[in-house]
This record gives sequence, structure tokens and C-alpha cells, in this order.
Amino acid sequence: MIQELTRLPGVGPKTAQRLAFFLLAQPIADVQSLAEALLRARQNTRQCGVCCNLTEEDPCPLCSDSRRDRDAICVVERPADVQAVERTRDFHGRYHVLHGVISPLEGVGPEDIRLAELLRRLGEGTCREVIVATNPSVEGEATAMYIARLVKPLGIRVTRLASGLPAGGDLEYADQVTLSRALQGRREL
Amino acid sequence: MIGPPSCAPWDTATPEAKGETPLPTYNQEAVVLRTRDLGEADRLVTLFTRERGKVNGVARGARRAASRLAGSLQPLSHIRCQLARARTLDIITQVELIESFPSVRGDLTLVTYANHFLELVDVVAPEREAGDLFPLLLGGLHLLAAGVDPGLVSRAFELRLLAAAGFGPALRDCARCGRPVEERGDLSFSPGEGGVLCGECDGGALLRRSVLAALIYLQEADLRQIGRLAVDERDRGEMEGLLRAHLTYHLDRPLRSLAFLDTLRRGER
Ligand SMILES: [Zn+2]
Ligand SMILES: [Zn+2]
Repeated sequence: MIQELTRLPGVGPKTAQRLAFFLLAQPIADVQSLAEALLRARQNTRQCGVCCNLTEEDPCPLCSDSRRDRDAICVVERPADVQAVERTRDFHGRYHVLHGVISPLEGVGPEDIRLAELLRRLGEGTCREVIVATNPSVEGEATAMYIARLVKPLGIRVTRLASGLPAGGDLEYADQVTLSRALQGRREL
Repeated sequence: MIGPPSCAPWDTATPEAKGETPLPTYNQEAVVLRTRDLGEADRLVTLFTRERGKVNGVARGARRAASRLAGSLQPLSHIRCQLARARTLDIITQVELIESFPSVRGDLTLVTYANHFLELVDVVAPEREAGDLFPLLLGGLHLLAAGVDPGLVSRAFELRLLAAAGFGPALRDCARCGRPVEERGDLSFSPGEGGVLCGECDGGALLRRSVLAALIYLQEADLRQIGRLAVDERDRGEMEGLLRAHLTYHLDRPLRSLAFLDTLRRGER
């Protein structure tokens, strides 16, 4: 069991041991319901036919929520990023999950991420702005530029999340790249 | 694993703080070749250092938004850094950014050419020695940043990298019989035989003399002068094709960045 647990992200041998001892001390019924929940979640989870997010229902709750705007799509790398943007409660449009970024060095091309699905959605004509929220890494930026290249000819506005200083951070401790980006992306007061 | 609240990674994990003896450190000038996620918040960084060639290091906590290391430890960055020697993997403790090549990063085509350079260096770079490759890589990146024709920069880079790795194509003398190819006759090019073949030694793909002259210039001229070379589209395409064949033959692996460059070009048409 310890070996299986160490396969989880962020779980080292020590944590795995702690989790294992915890589980072994629980009543059988509790462990069984946990095991069944894991199995059920895995079996019932698939990609939403619209936004490609992981979901138990297809289309997913976000896609079938009629109160959400259809004119903006926020494009993210992974399902966890949808949760991150949702937590801000500032975005009321729809999402699209790429499941990766273009990375020639890793052998990940445009056809290996959910770009075709995005273009198909845009073809429906309801979306007027694509907000690219890929990570501010070299691959994330390259993917954003590639998306802009594909989407702009469709007459749809393409925007990118601003990057800047972490809130509550100290200017003195910001690294040079972050600081110079923040400077470039400065706004009027 | 539940860590302390995120702040500068070396503040949270210094051996001193844990009462251990500090690890011996060393400083390196390097270009970041690639990075990979490691564990929950760390990043494994492959550096190409001026003095030691390829070195892997761990940047602790580099995936947290507040990390000071993350911004500078991205592929392409030219940095000065301090590493602490650890039992398995060295730990990157400090980073100072020398150049991040923003004009290259901000252009999809240029960043793909730059990736091509990183990819080639990663393939041929020996560990523990960088030789001429370090100044070549930096030179190539600076030329891309300066707006020099990326196709020419790329061909010059490929020729010189192949030479540094011991696979440089023979251009002035026939790869089979060794005689100078200046005399008459139809020339050809064969990656397998190691370069140009004279009129007597045929085999390989036909090589026009204008292409050979351009290749010799790109291989031998001062790197800063290569933007002055004038080549037409046809010669340009032939140079690219035969160097790609030469690279693929000798490095024996697909060139992913070039494949992506093809995708970009198809999209432009
Ligand atoms: Zn959905
Ligand atoms: Zn010969």
C-alpha cells in the first residue's frame, strides 16, 4: 500500500507511511467507502464533450449552466486551473481545457492538445473573446501565441492574462523577469 | 507533504536552519535548456553551463507563484547561479538573470528556432565539459534577438554544432576521396559519407555550387557577419533540407522543433 501511495503527486515515502498507518487504523467500513468513492470517481469521470474539462456528466455543470456568458471562453492548461479561475468569482464565461501546452522539446505538438475542439467551438459563432490563461512559462507563452495566430483570423478578440507582482509581495524580492513584465503591463491610475 | 508557507525557497530549506552543516556551493554561468516538474512544488532544471556542460539541478519551491527562482529558471534564460552540491542532485540556491531574450520569447517563430538550438545542444552536449558549444549557443540566441535572419542563423548554428560534435560535413574536400572539390564536375551531398562528394565520386543528392558556397560561408565566417549573406529561396530551401538530413542521420533522432516550425509555416500559407 505504501508503494502505491508514493505514486500520488507530492507524497513521499514518509507521508505515504503516515497515510497507510492512518488508513489501517480506520474501521473497515470507512476504508471501503473511500475505496469505492475513488473507484466510482475514476470510472465515471470523462472529458466534457464541449470544454474538455473532467466531469461526471457530459456536458459538464459549467457548460450546461445557462446563466454563464457564451461570449467569452477562458482557455486553461489543466482542469485544476478551471478551479483556480472559478475561485476568483470574477469570470462568468465558459472554459476550455487544453490538457497540456505545446512543447516541441517534449514532443507535444498542437495536435496533441485540445485545440481542434476549441476551434470547433469557436466555429459555432457565439464566442467573441478568447482569454488565454496558460501559465506564464515559455511553453505557456508559445501556446498562447499559437492560439492567437489561429483565432484572430476568425475575427474573435484574443486576450492574455496580465502577469505581474504577487499580491501582498515585496517589490524588493521580486525576480527580474516578473518585475520587468509587471513594468511592461503597467496601467493608468 | 505539508510544507511551510511559501516564501523564498532557500529561506525555508537551508541546511543551516535545520542544524546541518552547509553544503559546499559553486557558481556557474549557464543557459537553461529545459525544466521538468519534480514532486509537488520543485522543478528539475537542466542547465548548460559554460564550464561543466550539462548539469541538472533542483530548484526547490520553484512552482510556487511567489518563488524568486521561477522567473529566471525558464528555458532560454542566460543566468549566473549558485548550486549546492548534494548527495543526488545539486540544489540551485541563487539565480541572477543576465538575459531573458524577451524579443525571442515574444515571437512564436523565433522562440521555435531558439528551442531548436536548445534541443540540439541538449542532444550533443557532453556532461562535464562545454567546449565551444557555450559561446555558440549564446551567440546564436543573441543573433536571433538582434533580428538577424533566423534561417541563416539556424544553418550556421547547425553547421558549427555538428563540427563541435565531430559530425561537421566535409565541404571543401570530397568526403570519399579527399580531393578538393573546386575542380569541375557535378557535386553531390551525402550525410552517410560525411558531406560533399566530388564529380568522380557520385552518389547522394545533387548539390549546386551556389549552395555549397553559401554553406562554406555559414560554416566559416564570423558568426556576427552571417546576416550579410544573400541567398535566394531555392538555395535556402536546399541548405535547410540537406542539413536536416545530415543532422537526422548523425544525431539519429527526430528534430522536434524543426517539425513544429514546419507546422507553423503550413499555417502561414
Ligand atoms: Zn464542459
Ligand atoms: Zn571524390
